[in-house]
Amino acid sequence: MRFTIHQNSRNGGRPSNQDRVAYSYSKQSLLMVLADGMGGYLHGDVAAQLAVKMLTDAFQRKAQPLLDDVQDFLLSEINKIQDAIHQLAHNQGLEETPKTTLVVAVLQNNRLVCAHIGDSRLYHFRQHQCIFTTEDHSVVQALLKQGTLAPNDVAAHPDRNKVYNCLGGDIPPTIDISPTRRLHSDDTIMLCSDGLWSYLSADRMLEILDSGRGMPHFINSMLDIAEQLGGAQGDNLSAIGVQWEDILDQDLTISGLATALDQARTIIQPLPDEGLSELSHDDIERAIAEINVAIQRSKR
Amino acid sequence: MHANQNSALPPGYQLQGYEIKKLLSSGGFSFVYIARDQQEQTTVAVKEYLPNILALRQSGDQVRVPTNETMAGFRFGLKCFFEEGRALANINHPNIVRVLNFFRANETVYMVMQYERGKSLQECILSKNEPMAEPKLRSIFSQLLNGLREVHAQKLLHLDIKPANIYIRRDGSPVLLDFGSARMALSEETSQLPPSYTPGFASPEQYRHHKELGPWSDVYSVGASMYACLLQASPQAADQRMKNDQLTSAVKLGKGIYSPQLLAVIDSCLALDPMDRPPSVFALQKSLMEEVDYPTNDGWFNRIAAFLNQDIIK
Repeated sequence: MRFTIHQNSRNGGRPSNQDRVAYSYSKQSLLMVLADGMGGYLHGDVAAQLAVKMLTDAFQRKAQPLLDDVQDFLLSEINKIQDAIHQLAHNQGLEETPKTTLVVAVLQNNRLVCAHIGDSRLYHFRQHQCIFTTEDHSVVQALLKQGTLAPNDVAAHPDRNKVYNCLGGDIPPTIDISPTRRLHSDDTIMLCSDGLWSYLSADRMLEILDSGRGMPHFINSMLDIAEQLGGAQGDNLSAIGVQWEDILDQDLTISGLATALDQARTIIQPLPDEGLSELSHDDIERAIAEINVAIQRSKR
Repeated sequence: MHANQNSALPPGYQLQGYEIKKLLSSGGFSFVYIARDQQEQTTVAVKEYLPNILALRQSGDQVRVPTNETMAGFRFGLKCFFEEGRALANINHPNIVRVLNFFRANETVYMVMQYERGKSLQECILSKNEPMAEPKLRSIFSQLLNGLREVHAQKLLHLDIKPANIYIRRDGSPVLLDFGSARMALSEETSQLPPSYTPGFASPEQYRHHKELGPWSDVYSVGASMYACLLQASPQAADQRMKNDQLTSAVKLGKGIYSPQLLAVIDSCLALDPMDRPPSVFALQKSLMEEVDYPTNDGWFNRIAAFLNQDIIK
């Protein structure tokens, strides 16, 4: 099993980040998970953290090195999270249970199984096309399906952020498990929160992916764009992407850990919002002059 | 927003006293061209500041910075570009890329560097089916450390040493490139610049607070680069190692390929705790220059032969 993976999460315009994203892998199986703690509720980050932690822990215990039954694993572990959130709310005397969305993918034996609850999404890209996305459990998605809302009116709809299915609610979640999907070499699987997909169409994502500059570039560029478009009011935003390589590898112990050398790219973290002193034209001229003086001085 | 579709300057373009010959590479924040210095009649490398997500150049030569928000980002990246220029301008060393000129044109800035013929260490590693020979590895890295000592003497840290940033000249000598991540050590200004790193080569401290950074952070990256010569891939990233260290020790991975002494040196550079790494770049360099018996070809004659062959690069 060989893959290139990258994940990142940012606050956007919010003071705290309630998104959580993680992955875990064995020699033959990979789990990716993303949870968007719901901001309207207290402790959304607690629910998201719990979901991600419980799934990766369970995966580490059970993928030895493959999960026997992926569907069964996802259903039972996700139901345990629902119970754990309620237990936690009860133990801490919280008035309201913390809530989160969830999207999780398991990749093994060149197959993908995905489960989701709410409006965090999975995208499956192959050969310059988006061949699959999960369907949001959101009010606008339901209206779209009924035909009572036009696609162009989604962005302006007052309920565009409302989901009717989540983890941590009073009603047990409906766990939406996708049919098993085949993975080809060079397929890309990407999970993201609504803070990202609200600002980038699948076509725009493909354009960035097709620049062929690797996973870190793909994920970080998308976050950069969504973050800029979200501006000061922007939601938390997160994404994790994997490029799958269907290559037989003799030395499995290393391939799971090492990244191909030519995939090693410098990641530039987000620019800090504060402490950014403006460079004036004079500053630029002065910096250039200083550098040229230094060049002359160090010439021997 | 289609901002990452910046177009490069075309061959034949006249940029002050330089004629653009061809595009050499494009990174996240810049283009690098091969150009002709028309006055000196020499070939140079010209680096153009052009962040792919921020500035716009669909056609022509002028860089347009469209909005106020992107302007802030553009200026910020520009600060980093100046930082690289300042870092390099003060250094004149055979193992460090030499900056020749720095100027402003087309609403952006350009850095002119000495052009070196050869290929990157990354290409050298990937072009072979076996780990790099030990004498060659020792030769490259002990020379490279001369350059790194000079960098540190200027109170600078490189912070992005990796095989792709180490260039091997045709005579086998290394040149350290890309000071885009270089930072003034022990300077308050450090906090002003966004951190950047390459997974697999960045030290554990680079994922934490910048106050923990020091020459020992570059030592980790040197160790990771030597490890990459052996593994022919990037080692496990330090942030993952801090959670669950699954890096196979060089001593284990390279048994019978490199001398135990070299393998122990590589492992010590890759220690997660900076205190467990070689105490200085000089100490590391000394241990790379030690006389040892190589696992194979340990005859006296073969060792001389290995030394004679070490500088030959196709």
